[in-house]
Amino acid sequence: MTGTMEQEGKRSRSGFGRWIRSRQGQQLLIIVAFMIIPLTLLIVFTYFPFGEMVKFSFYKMKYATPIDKRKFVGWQNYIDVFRRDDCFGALKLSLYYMVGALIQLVLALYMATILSFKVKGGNFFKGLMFFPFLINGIAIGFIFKFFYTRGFVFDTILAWCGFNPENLPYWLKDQAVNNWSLVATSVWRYFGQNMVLFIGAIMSVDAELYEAAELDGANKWQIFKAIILPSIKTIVTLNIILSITGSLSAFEQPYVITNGANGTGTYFVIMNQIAHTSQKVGLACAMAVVLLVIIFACTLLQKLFFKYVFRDAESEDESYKAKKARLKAEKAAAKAQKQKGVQA
Amino acid sequence: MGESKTLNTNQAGKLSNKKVNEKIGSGVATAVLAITAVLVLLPLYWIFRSSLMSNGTLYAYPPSILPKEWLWGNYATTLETFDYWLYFKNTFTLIVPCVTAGTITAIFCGYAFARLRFRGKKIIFTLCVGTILLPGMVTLIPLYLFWTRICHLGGTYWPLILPYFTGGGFFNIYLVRQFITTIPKELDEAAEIDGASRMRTLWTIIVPAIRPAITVVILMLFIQLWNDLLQQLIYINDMTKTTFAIGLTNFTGSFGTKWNYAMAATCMTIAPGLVIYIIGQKSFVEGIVLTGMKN
Repeated sequence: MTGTMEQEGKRSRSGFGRWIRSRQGQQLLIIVAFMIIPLTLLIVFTYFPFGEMVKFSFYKMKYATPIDKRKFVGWQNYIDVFRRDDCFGALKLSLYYMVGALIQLVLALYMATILSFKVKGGNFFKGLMFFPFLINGIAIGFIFKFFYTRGFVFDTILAWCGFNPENLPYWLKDQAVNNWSLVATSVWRYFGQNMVLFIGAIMSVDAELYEAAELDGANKWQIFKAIILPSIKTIVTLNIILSITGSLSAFEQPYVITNGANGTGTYFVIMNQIAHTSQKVGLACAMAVVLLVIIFACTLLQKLFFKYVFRDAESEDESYKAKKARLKAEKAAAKAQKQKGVQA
Repeated sequence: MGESKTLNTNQAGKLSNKKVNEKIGSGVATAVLAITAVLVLLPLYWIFRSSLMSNGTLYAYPPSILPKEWLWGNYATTLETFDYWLYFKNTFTLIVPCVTAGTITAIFCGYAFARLRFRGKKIIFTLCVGTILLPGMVTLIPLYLFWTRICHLGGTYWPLILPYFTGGGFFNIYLVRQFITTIPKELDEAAEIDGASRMRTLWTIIVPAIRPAITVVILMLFIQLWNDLLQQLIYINDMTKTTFAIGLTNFTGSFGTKWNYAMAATCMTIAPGLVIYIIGQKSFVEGIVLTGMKN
């Protein structure tokens, strides 16, 4: 950049003042042209509604209430969020989804590792496992309502496996299992997406490293631990953070499959009901604000946690680089030895 | 080979032991892959199978894996009430402008964040990153009021389309930005010395170079819209503007007891996604690999 300016400056030293003015003018124009639409809309669609929402959370209002008839109630909505059992209690359900997210990430990571080595039909498997992510929510809801219905698909499979169909629970009604049923659907739907992201990251790791490590006698698990995992830790961390946020804001599976019946109403499902069915807009806004605070707190905690975990990352990286160098040297030595062997 | 000659017996023993372990490992891996594949496929296969059966045989116990008769006529019967082509047209009237607008603005913004230098860039960037953490559900209520009470646009596609002019979410802008930063700066500097304007540099140098990232952005946007359900349910209440998501909700609502027709409708709504995915899958996975999201 500066190099360009110097060169051009030398070319036309006489009109330098005018040039820089027009150049800067052009620069400003470009910045405005490139950023103005997205930025305006970002403010209009994110920060403005966010501010409005915080304001609404202090009022008792319905959607149809005119602005001057809204009643200011102070902190009452926030007190209600914590007092009503259906609001804050719904956050407990997030724990189910967090366990699900953990299983999902481990499964995705395992699959991604298998599939990034050469496997027969690898592309077919990748495509297949990503596919559920492409089915729209309503169809998912319908598929799984059918899947879990008494005496239908899931019961049949279990009957083939030797379970007595009489003893099986109602998968979507029995409160002991219905949340797990929904979490399983969530894993089914999203693990392929995580897997493809992980494959992308793993494929960009230098393949020579694996070969070198294998020559060195490392097994697959050691390769995974020493080479793959450190190389993709950024995307793994990002996925963990996003999955915690996702668990706190779980919505679609319970909404489309059970509509929150029988104790499957997650925080957002309840919030949606409060806002649209009972028209308590102020209370729903307060719920949204509370959740947002929780999400920010969680993210902050996780960031600190990962900073703590990876605080040695720099030195680890160095040893990783050292290891890379060592592996290369050893590979070269092995090659030389091999050649010697051939010659002998 | 020459290699094995140089190994002593001890090492050879170790090697074969390792080979056995590896064989077991790859056997387990194949088994896990196969089981997962079956689990993924099963619910999908089952609705397809059921869509070809008569409603009576659906309830038969024990159920058969293949339908006894293949009743393709179910699809014709479903189409009598399920207005597939209208939903198809409406869904794509909604998706095409969103994807186009989202992709173009993502390119502009990503370029600006990657290459332009201006005051306040860091602050703006941080503000944008913050939006990733904000679940869409959170701003739903004020936005609904904004669109219906202030703009009077309830019942149109505008509340669904306009937000996509922001690059369709910051994730896409970030993706483009990351990819542009991997392109050597000398490339566009050379073009500028040759007298190309910023716009020209962007379209002739940057855009061809970031094609994999653009493919990923397009597919991500498509999936995001394809899966978006709640917003469509909230804003669209006009029968002539019904999309797949709403059409299927209404259909399964009114035909809830006739599972086979509902299944046929479900299968038909899955089909366009499947086709687009088969077309785009290779470049999608490649794109993600090339965007190198490792660090």
